[in-house]
Amino acid sequence: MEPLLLDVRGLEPPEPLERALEALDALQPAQRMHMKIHRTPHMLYPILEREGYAHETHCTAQGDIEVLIWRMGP
Amino acid sequence: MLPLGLSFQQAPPPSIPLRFFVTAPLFLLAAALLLTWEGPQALAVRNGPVALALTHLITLGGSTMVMCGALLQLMPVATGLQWPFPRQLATLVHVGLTLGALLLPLAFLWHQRAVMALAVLSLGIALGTFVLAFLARFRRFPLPPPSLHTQRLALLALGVTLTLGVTLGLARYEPLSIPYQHLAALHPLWGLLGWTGLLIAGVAYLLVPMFYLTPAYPKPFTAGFATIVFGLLTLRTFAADTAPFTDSALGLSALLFAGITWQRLLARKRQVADVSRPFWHLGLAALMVAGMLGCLLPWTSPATTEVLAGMLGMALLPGFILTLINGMAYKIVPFLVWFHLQSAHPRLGVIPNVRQIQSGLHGKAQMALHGVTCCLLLAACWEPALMRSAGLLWALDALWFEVNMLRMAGLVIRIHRVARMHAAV
Repeated sequence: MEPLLLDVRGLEPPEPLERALEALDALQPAQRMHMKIHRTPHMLYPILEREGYAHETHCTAQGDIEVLIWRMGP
Repeated sequence: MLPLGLSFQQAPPPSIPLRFFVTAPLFLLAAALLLTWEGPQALAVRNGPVALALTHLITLGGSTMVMCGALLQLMPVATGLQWPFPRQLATLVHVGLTLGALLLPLAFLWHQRAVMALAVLSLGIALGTFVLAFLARFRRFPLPPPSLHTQRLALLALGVTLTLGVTLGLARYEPLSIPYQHLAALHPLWGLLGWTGLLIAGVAYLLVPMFYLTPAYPKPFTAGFATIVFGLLTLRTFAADTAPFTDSALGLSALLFAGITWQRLLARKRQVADVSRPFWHLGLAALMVAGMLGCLLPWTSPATTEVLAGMLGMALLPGFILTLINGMAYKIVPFLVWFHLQSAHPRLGVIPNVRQIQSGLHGKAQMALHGVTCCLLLAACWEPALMRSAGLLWALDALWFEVNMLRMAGLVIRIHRVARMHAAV
């Protein structure tokens, strides 16, 4: 399944977090979300962990942050 | 050294900052009503009972109230450090500060020794505990980044302000052999430029680039600004004869901070309308006026000094400090409310987003009223006949601010009630 792309670079807080939570609601069970953001989304991580999502964060050469999110377990 | 970064698992419940934000506008309303009641005579004597009562209603009940609440919220998030008893600390500071901010103006107005003693005791316990609790936490950061270093110096300045204030309060009724006039001149400098000014700067280094997507403050500026301001205040304290030079240098420092922050806001990456940013522009413009007056004041003739000193107070207090506090409250409190509700009830589906919460505040309209109020207060220093109109407008402005804070506290209560009803079904 194609990953759900979410580009929230350049949005003022807390819009990136709001958009990420909306996108999570639309995420299919086996689908992954690929989020691009201009700074580390510290506030999102505890919510993801509480709601049963796993995540991986990478920093790009341009200095942006990419977060890959997927639902854990069955 | 502990890692720095925003740690939102450490965020205290919103009831902790909200109680401070809801209380502060009531003191501003009291100050506005006192100004209206006294009218043209309100500021006739610079250090008279009414002027002192007004100043302390604004600084203790208004700005210090909000700044204590904001720090109690921000510090655990910014440093990841938590106090053993956050609710008890917040309650002690809030109750003591509220009582002290209420009693101290009454002590000035009624000339009551017992009321002054109670006010000094309440403020000493509340703010003394606050300063010690924070400085103890800061010991965990031997090499703090500029924002925390600036906030630490602001807290030290609060300690100095408090010590001076308690000494001056006691000296009104006890025969203390102290240089009263010198200490009375130092007390507002440490309070307004040291405590309030440096705290605003320290928080701005962190929040302006984050909230408005601006470039970061220049590193040499953030590394040296607080130390220079603190050094100038220390020099002014121990070498009274340097006063004209240090006062002008402090005015220049204010101009520099205002100019650099204004330039940050102009260079932001995305030009999106935001409820809080016009408050920043107004506040910084007022700080520029205050900075220029601060530079000029030591060199003006005694005939104009009284008027200019009044204008400096108006530009700095309602113009700069209260404007920024009001604007930041409209940025931070809706966000805190939304984040708390979203975390507590993630599947409820009735929680408005931050923009919806902000739009209900009609912040732009209140900002316009606040701007007119500040201009009228400034003009009233030249023409005291305007004082009553300025006071009335200010009362309306403070009432609006209070209604908005109550609205957000009410939203938290309402959503929790809805969640309980859903859980019961």
